[in-house]
Amino acid sequence: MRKYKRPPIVERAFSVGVQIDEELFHRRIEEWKDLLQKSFPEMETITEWQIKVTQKDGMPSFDQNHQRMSLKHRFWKGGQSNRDKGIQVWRDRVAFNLVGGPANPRHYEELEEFSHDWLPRWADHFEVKTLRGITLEYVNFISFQTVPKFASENKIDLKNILNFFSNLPGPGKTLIPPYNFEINLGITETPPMRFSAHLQNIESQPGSTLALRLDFKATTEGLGRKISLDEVKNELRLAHDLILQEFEAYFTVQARDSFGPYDSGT
Amino acid sequence: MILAPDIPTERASYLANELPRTVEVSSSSQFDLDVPIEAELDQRHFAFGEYFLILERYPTIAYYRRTYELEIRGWNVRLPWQRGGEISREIIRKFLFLLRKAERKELSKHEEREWEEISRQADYRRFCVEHAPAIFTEGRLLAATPADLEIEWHDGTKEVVPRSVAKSLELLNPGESFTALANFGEGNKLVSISQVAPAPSAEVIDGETLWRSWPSNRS
Repeated sequence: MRKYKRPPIVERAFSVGVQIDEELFHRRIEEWKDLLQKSFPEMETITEWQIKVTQKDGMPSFDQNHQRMSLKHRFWKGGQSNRDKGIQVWRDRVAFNLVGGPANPRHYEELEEFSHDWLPRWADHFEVKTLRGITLEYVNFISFQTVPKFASENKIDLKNILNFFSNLPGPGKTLIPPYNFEINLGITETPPMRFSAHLQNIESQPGSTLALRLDFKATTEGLGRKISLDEVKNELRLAHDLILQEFEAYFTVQARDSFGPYDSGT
Repeated sequence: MILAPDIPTERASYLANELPRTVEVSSSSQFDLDVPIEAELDQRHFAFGEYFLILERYPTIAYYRRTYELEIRGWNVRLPWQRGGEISREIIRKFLFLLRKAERKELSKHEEREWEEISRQADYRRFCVEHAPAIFTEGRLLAATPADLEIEWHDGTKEVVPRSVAKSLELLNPGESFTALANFGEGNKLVSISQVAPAPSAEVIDGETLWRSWPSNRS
């Protein structure tokens, strides 16, 4: 498998889905904060909203039965301006985030080691024995900074970056913003996986550089699925390998050549 | 194996949540900004410091778009939306302040109405049991297994507790008596114990024995 010196990856996030008893979780979360205080000193609890807008009598309205709010706990190693390594905790999920940037893709091995250090501690603290599966997400930036050969500050030659757009059907051949594209694939292997790719515009201030985000996600999470902690490492590796295969398939040869390929065996 | 169709997307990625994104909604009319957005908070257990409060139902949070404020419905608590992560603190704080005032009979008319509503929403009895001050108690360690300790309390009741709950009792050998400060939870079960001190056995301080041995004019 080829590796790249400058892949456009700017974040790697690994998470596991879980069911924890509500009372147990909330009784333990304060102690968890104490445990992480030294290694992840920047702690914050933030709100997350799931809002559903419907139309009622010609007026957009928020149906009270479908609005949800939850509290998410985030722990960062760096300060506000340097959030490069963090743990996020929900009652039904824990995530390990490595945030990089252009020319700083972070590495899978780093993510594996990070989760290897903290996942067992989290599981022990919240008495977690089984998981619903794992999810791995890689966020790619497509912009003047990451693919300079194919992008200027206000134009991105997407047809020469992503194979999907190199042979568009129909007479129109010029891609223009806004870009929004999502695809979901079922992978019928063992364990069964789901892969998704989502391309979208990054909203920016007027006059700033045009940039797109391409998220790759591989998950083994499924309804009623249960895996042990011992199975996590293998599934994480399988998800990583799947994303690498899709990465090779999605990006054109020219784009991949611009990422500085090298043989991982060397 | 059916993969969950409802596994939330973009939850774990930090950047996915931080980068601004707009979802357009088309309508022929305007939103009424004076009507707050109401959402159900997906938790009814709240912890802050040593305190833990359980509500009977999931609270509703209202968001006022004109003032950028959140309100915990039925609690008369408002806070700027940036402080939404402090909802647990605000709920426990409100409950505790009203509880202490109610205990001292210092509630105003307005607070009485608030307390009536709030104490109905919260598991008041459990909160009081869990947060009662430690009481002086006497007992005897009957037996010790690798996992548990068996205790006989001063009133003759026996209880088996995990070692993790009563670590300091491991100072004693089976058969030895002690005095201590203890907290009891639901079902009068030991929750924590501190200030453990060896004490003379119950037989030694038995009242009858003490009476007979008490010096008198005839002796």
